[in-house]
Amino acid sequence: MARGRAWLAWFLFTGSSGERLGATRILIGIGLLPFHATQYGGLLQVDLAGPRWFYLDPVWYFAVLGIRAHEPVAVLIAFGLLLVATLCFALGYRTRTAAWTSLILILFLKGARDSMAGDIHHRELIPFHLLLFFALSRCGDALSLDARRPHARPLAEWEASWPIQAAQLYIASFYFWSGVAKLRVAGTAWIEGGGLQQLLIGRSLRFGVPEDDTPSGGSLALWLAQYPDLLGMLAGGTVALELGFLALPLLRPLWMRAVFLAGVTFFHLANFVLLKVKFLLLPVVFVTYFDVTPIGRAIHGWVSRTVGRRA
Amino acid sequence: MTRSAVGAFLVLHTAVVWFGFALRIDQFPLSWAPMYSTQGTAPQDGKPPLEVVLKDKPWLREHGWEVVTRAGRRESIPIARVNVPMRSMWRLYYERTFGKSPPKYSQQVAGDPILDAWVQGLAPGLRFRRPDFERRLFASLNKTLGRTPDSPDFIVTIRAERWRAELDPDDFSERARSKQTAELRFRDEWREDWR
Repeated sequence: MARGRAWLAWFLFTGSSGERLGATRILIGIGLLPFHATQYGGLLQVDLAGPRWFYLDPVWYFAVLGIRAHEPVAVLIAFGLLLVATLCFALGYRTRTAAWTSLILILFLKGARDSMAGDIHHRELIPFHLLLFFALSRCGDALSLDARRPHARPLAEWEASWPIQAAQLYIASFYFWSGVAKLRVAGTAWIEGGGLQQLLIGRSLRFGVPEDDTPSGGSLALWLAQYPDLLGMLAGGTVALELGFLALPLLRPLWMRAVFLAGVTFFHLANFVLLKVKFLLLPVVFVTYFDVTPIGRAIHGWVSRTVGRRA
Repeated sequence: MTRSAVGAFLVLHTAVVWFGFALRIDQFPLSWAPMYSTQGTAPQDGKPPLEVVLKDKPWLREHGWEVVTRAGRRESIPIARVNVPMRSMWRLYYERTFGKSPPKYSQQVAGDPILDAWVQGLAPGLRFRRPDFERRLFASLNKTLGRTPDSPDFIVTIRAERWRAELDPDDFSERARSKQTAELRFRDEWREDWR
């Protein structure tokens, strides 16, 4: 028991510096800007002065709060505020407020999108929980505009480490759950029974069979769907990758992490090209697995010089 | 936060998110991350599906649902009249109107018996609720358009049509198309949705 607690304390509270935490915040914030734009940009494709759609299946917190109809103007304002809050988070300007504001706005925008027809999308889960960890941490006290103010004390190692370690653990859990879910719902049929093939055919032909041979994600997906053995291997590899993710936070060699995460990033890229699955920009959260201090320091230096010149 | 407070928070957070996973809760911000897990359960015989529902954006922009009001008048409800993004309109028109629920309502365990038994024993899971989307569609359309059950312009019938492409099993080229129609009728007991 004591050894277990000691190991947990070592895992959660050691290994990072304040600068690494600040650099991770910067890169996640920069990555979340286009991520949010791709997730919620579609909500702006409506007439601001048009009718207010009465939600078909409100998400649970909308039901609790009594939010029943879509408000296009409120969504537009929330979308703009989310981008501003994310930029402030990346710059480290009023960091904690920016992180909490982002969390609330994600809840609102996700709720608005998912309540329209009742679908639950899972793309915000990792960013949401990461932002929660960072909102509770002192991530704004290093490599930030906030850090220019006088502070009582620098970040201790445990303060800098836990948000990063908790983020790594949540990301790994998320992928692991996804692998288990496939086996739990469909069993090995997901690998053997053509689940991936079904997805490729359905997505590539949903607007009709292409009339020309112009190469596109859809035609590539259709071509790939004709090789069930290869798809079985890819599906098996996907599940193995997802289940194996749980071991990633424990892997210390940099090259192992890099190879593994490059594989996952390729998986998301392929999903986007072939299936139009919008997890494309999610790999930005993988920066938590690396020491990105030099990159964060360079970006922060450039921001400080720019802000300093203007001041 | 102090170090011990952070430790307590992380234990609580981990317990809550893993609890959500074990009980198959899919309500943001908890999830058991099912994503595309339901894919693969359909082709029981190991063969890929040979039919695909075709989505027609111009049709949704120009025509959409055909509805009949209480006074017997027919009208079209294209996307502009409900003011939702195109992706939501697809789901409303091609899925909900034709009785297809979102994946979150069809993620029951249907896998291998050994895995099923193990998971059922470990965590029985929550009972999946299934909203009546037919009823909700009438509420959403009528309330969006500001129509009440007693008014003559209240929508009592919703009609939609879609095309299914039948595919050649060898190269997935299109072999034939067939039209499907969904017709939903309002029931008087649903009036309580307006109280």
